[in-house]
Amino acid sequence: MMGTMRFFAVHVEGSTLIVAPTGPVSNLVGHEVQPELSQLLDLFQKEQCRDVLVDMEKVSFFGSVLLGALNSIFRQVRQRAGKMVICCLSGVGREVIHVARFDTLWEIYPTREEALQSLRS
Amino acid sequence: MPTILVVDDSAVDRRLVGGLLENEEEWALDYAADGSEALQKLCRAPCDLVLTDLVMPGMNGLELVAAVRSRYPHVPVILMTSKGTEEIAVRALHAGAASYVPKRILAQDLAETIRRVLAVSSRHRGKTRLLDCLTENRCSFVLGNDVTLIESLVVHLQESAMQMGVCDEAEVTRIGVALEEALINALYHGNLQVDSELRGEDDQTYYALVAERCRETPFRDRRIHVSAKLTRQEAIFVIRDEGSGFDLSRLPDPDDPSALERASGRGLLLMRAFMDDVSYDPTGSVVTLVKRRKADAPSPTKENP
Repeated sequence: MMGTMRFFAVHVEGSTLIVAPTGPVSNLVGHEVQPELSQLLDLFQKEQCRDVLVDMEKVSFFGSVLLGALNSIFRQVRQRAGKMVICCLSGVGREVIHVARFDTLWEIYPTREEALQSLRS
Repeated sequence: MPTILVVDDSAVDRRLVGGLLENEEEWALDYAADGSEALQKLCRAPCDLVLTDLVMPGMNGLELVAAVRSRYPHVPVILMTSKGTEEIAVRALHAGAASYVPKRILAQDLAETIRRVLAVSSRHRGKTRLLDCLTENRCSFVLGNDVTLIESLVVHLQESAMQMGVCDEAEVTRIGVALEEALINALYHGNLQVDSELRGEDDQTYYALVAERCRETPFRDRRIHVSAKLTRQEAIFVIRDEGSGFDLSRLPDPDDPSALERASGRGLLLMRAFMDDVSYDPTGSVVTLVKRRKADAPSPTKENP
């Protein structure tokens, strides 16, 4: 199934929930991101997904709000003993994840194909 | 004498345009047969205005508009449109073209359109040159608890930092992220006193409390005070909230792996990573963020090295 919210395009492929933020996610829209995050988490449960791929191709920058949202998704993934992978990060995006040390929890890949491959293997 | 670069793949049309403009003694004319040649000429010597056909083989007028906007933002582009290209012309205007003239009325409208666009462009250039001479820029703002104003303020401060040459395009995004984090802290945790520990645990309750306190006294009456001092060497931003302050020592130790997934302190980590200096006053209500121009950054202006 597929769907597009304001901040996230969502696509389920097998047991993987593919989430692609549709543009930069400013900290100032946290109150608007939160309901969509709830929908994402519901979908993850409903579709009985195990893994999540987050494609950041359209996200030139983000801050703690998106980091927090990604971490909420990661918690669900971990409960299912799944894996969360991130791909197509911008330079600043990679720095943000590195500074917050989430690169120790999430695998980062340059392309979506490589990220998908890592989930298949 | 302003130079106009005429771009058209049709030699006949180039001659036609040349004939129309040659009588204007105040302009020098140059010609290119397509977008690529136009860019090569601009690279050698930027002109004052580009007048281009819309439909050309290779790089078309729309692509040329985008390329000129990106590489030579002060050079205006006027399009010459034919019947049936109106839709592309609208897209070109959205992409940053200054104006357009239908080819069928070139004789009547072209010179006047160029004159008008050059006049506007000249005023912009004058302002740009003046701002290149700016040595210090100070500004202060007092904001209510309004997220949309914060967004505009961040953009304004980013533009000011760019204008002063403190940062380049890549660095300005980092400044924006750091300022956003600091301002959101001032609003949510300072003025509205919503505990950051709640975020990440129960986001719905967190934002519900934010909305509730935006309506309640004393929270709703509090203000965020922002001052910025920008020179050619550094940008100093001071952000003060009217909350009851916070104890910095309560924030998790960033080196503690168990703190990794806690939401609190993440914003401060980003502020510290993206600014050169971040310091709080003893109350925790005033944060000062400093961004310095990199030592190896090119001189911002010729006039003010």
